[in-house]
Amino acid sequence: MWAYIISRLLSFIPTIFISVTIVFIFTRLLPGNPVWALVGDQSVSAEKIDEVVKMMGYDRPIFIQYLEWLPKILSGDLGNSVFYKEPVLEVILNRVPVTFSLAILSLIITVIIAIPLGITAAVHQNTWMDNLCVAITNVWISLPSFWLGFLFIILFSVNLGWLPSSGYRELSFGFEDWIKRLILPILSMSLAHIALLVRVTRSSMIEVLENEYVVTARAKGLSKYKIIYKHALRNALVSILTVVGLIFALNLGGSIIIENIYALPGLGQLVATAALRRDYAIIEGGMLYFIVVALFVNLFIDISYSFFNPRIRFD
Amino acid sequence: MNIIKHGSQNKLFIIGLVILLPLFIFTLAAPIFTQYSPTTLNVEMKLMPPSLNNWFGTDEYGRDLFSRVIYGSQISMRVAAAATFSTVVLGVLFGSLAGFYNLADLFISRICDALLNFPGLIIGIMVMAALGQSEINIILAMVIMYTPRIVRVVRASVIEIKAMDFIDAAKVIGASNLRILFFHILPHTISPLVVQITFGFAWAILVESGLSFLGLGTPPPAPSWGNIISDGREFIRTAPWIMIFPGLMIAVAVTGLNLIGDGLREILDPRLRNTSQKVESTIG
Repeated sequence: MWAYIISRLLSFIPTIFISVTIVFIFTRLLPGNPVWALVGDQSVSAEKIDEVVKMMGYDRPIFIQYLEWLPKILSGDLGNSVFYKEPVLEVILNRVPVTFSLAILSLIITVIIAIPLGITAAVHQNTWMDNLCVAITNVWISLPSFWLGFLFIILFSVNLGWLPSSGYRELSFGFEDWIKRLILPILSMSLAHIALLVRVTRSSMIEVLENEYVVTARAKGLSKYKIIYKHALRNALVSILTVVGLIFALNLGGSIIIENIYALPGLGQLVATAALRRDYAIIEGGMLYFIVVALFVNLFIDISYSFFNPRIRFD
Repeated sequence: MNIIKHGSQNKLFIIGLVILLPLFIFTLAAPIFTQYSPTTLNVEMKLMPPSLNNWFGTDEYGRDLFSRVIYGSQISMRVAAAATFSTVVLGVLFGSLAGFYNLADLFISRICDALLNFPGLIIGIMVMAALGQSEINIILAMVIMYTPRIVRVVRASVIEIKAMDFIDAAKVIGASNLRILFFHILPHTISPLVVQITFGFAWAILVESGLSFLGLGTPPPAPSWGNIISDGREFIRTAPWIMIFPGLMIAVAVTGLNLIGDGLREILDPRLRNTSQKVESTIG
C-alpha cells in the first residue's frame, strides 16, 4: 500500500512539470504583458513602459525566463501578483475558504441526494419511478448551469425574496449570513452533478444486481436491504466513487460561471480575471493549485477503492 | 452500417431525433420563420414582453428575441459543428499515433493528461484572452479543450485492437504500418468515436454559451445563445424572458444530443453502459 502511494506521488512530478510548462507557454503567448494591463487607459509614455518591462524582465527571451522561473515554481515560490501587490500564495489562500465551502457543501448535497435516488431507480428498474428518474436526470444534465443560476435568482430572490441574490459573507459574521449566501450557488452547482451521479449509480447498480451472487444471496433468504447495501452497493462503489472524485475535483477548481453569477470571490473568478489582466503569477499559481488538487483527489479516490472493496489491492 | 435499422428500434435515439429535427429545421430555415432581422434596432419596442408579434418578446434595443434566438442557433450550431469536426480529425490523428507508436504515446498522452487536469473553462478563457473574441478563436479554444478526450478514446481502442490476432496476420502477409492503421485498426474505432461525437457536440454548445456568457465568446451584435443570456442578466428583474428563451433552446438542443448519444451507445456498444463520460458535458 505505502509503496503504491509513494510510486503514485513520484508520478506526480512529471505531470506537474508538464502542466506548469504548458501554463508558462500559454501565459507568455498572451499578447501584451502585465505592465500594459496595469497602465490601462492612463497616459504613460512608451519609454516609461519599456523601462518597467525591462526592469521586470519581461523583455528577455522566453526560454531564459522559463529557466529562471521553473526552479522557483517547483520549489513552491509562486512570486508576487502585479495587481494585488501581495504574494500569490496569500491571494490564493484568501480565496480558498469560499471555494472550499462551496465545493464541500455541494459535494455533500450531491452524494446525499444522488446515491439513494440512483439505488432506488436501479432496484425498481423499468417501473414508472425509474423512468421518471431517467427522464428528469436526462433533461437536468443538459441545462446550462448559468441559466439555472439565473432562474434561481428570479425565483428565490426576486419573486419570493427568501435569499440574497449575490455576495459572500465570511463564516465569522455568523452561520446564518454565511449559509444564506451559499444556498443558491450550491443548488446551481449541485443539480447537474446530482443528475450525473444518479445516472452513474443507477447504471452500475443495475449491472451489479444482475450478477449471480445476488441471485444466490436472494435464494438463501437474505433481506432485500442487506442484499442492496451490503452486497450490491459495495461492488458498485468503484464507478460511483470515480465520479464522486471527478465532481469533487471539479468543485475544488471553483466554478468560474457560478462564482460570476453570484459574485463570489472564489478561485475560479480569481484565475479568470487574472487571465484577462495578464497577471502571470496568479495564473501560474492558480493553475498549479488546480493540478495539485486534481492529482491528490484522484490519488485519494484510488486508495479509497481498496477501503470499500477489499478485493482491490495495491502491490 | 446497421445504425439505421437498430436506430429505428432504439427509444432514446428516436426521442433525441424527434427533439432535434425541428430545431435543425428552424435553424436552417430561419428566414422563413421570422420576418425580423436579429440585429435591427427598434428603440420604441424595447423590452416588450412576449406577444403575438414578438413571440419571445424584445430585448433592450427592441430587437425581436425570437429571431435573435433562431439566428443565434445558427451561430451556436455552426461553432459547435466546426469545433466537433476539427476535434475529431485531430483526435483521431493524435490518438492513433499515440496508440500505435509507443514513442509518440509518451509525448501525446502526457500533454493530454496535463490539459485534462485543468478544470472547466479555464483553458478556454486563456485562449480567448490571448487571441481575442472571434468565431474562429472559440472553435480553436474548444479544439484545445476537447481533443485530449477524443485522443484518449481513440488511443484506448487502437491499443485494444492492435493486440488482436488479425493484426498479426496482416503483419505476416506484409501489410505496411500505415495500411494496418488505416484499413484494419481505425475502422474499428468508429463506434466509440460516433458516441463521443454526439456528446462532444452537446458539450460544445454548452461551452460556447458559457464563454459567450462570460463575454469571451461570440462577439456582439451577432446573436448566440450564450450572449443573449448574458445580455439578459441586467434585466433579470424587469425582462426575464430575454434569458429564459435562449436557455430553453440550449436545454432542448443538449437534451436531444445527449439522448441520441445514449441511444447510439446502446446500439453500437452494448457493453458500454457506464455513463461516467457524461461528466464532460457538465461544464464548470
